[in-house]
Amino acid sequence: MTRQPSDPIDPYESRLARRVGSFSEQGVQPIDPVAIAASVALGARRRTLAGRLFGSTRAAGRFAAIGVGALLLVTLGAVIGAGGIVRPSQTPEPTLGAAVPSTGPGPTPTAVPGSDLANACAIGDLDAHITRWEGAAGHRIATVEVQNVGGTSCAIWTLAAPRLVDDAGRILIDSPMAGTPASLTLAPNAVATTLVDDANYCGPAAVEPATVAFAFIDGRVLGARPDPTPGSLGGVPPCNGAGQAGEIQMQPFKLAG
Amino acid sequence: MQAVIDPDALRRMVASAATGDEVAFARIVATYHDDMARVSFVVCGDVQLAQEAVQAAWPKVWGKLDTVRDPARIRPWLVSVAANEAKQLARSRNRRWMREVAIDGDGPIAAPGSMSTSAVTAHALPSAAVARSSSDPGDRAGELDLANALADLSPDDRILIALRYAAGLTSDEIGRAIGMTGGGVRARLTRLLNRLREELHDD
Repeated sequence: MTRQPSDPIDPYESRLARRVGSFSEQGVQPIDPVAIAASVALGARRRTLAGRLFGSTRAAGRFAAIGVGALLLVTLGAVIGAGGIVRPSQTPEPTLGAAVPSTGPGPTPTAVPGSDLANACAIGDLDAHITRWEGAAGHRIATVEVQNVGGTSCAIWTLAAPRLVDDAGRILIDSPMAGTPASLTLAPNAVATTLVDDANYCGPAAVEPATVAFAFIDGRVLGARPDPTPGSLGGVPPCNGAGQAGEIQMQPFKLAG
Repeated sequence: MQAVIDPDALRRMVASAATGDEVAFARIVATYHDDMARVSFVVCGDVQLAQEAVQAAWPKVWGKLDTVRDPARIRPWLVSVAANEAKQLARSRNRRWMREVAIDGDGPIAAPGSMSTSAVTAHALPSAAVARSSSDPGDRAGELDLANALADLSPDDRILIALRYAAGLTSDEIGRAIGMTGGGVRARLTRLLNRLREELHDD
């Protein structure tokens, strides 16, 4: 591939440009720009949050240790003050759409003090569905929409612990919530959207269509309906390395449109 | 092919991406990733490392998109970010731009680990330089000569060659990207051209 500079210095340049241009083509490989963009944006959000919380990476471990200690003290105090174990303030509601098991290999979200969402949407008032799956070098990325079909404004958490669930209801991959969730208010019929990126499933054969579910901090789980598109790519990612855990991560929900 | 984008569309694309629009950012990735990979490959001489360099460049680009004052100049900036990543990655992994010192006329260019009687190596040739080499023996020999000539250059000189002849930047664009004057870039390029012309027997 020849790229001739527009300000020639020497007649020999055109020949060298042809040689270097042709040679440099070897560096070009197929890519998925959507996956790269999604991964970069997600990584940036994580770094920003970590940076705000802990400052430099080197200091992160020190602050994390302090934080864990403080959290233990606060939890202990709460248990003693309440005279017992803190219990979820809300009973998990049934999921909409895909069957999401109540038990599985993943972490069960536990309601924590202060995790109540003001004017929280009832799970039954939310219609969550995958609009498409996209593929990229070992990854599957779902675009998920959640619509408030309840007729009144209500709120959802912007972040949850995402799960990849197959049609038999098995959790294939899960992950703890990454970040601090905020409240997002949905007017009637308003739609929130997010991207969920999963990779490296090396377990037993999954039953397609797979879908995703969101385990919120208040203990409720919202399942999304699978992508109905005929010939959809599906959400079960290829096995990239049996020795490594599967990965799944989500972007915060944001209002669509 | 160098990306040609309507300036207004490019301005909108960069502005949107700078506000966090991932779709706009994906368009930027789609438009410029290959250019960045070409430049990175010339700098580091390894396909995988070049791709890693570009992957490492994108988060830096994403974090600084809001500092782009003139979207028309984004391409020189992007390829220079990738070039620097390639240089640093190669250095951090203690990779040298590898060199092959002889080939057997019509025989295949040997790959690393498969050197036999057809080649005597000082260092292994970059795997990628073998994998997608031209099928024409003359072209292959020419690519090998170029690979060897690049191997003899300093990393900074390879960046200059890459920005100029893999990305097609002007002297002024290169100067802005690497912190030199256009005149300084031209002077260095002139010296490099004379050296490469001699080494490549392109008289």
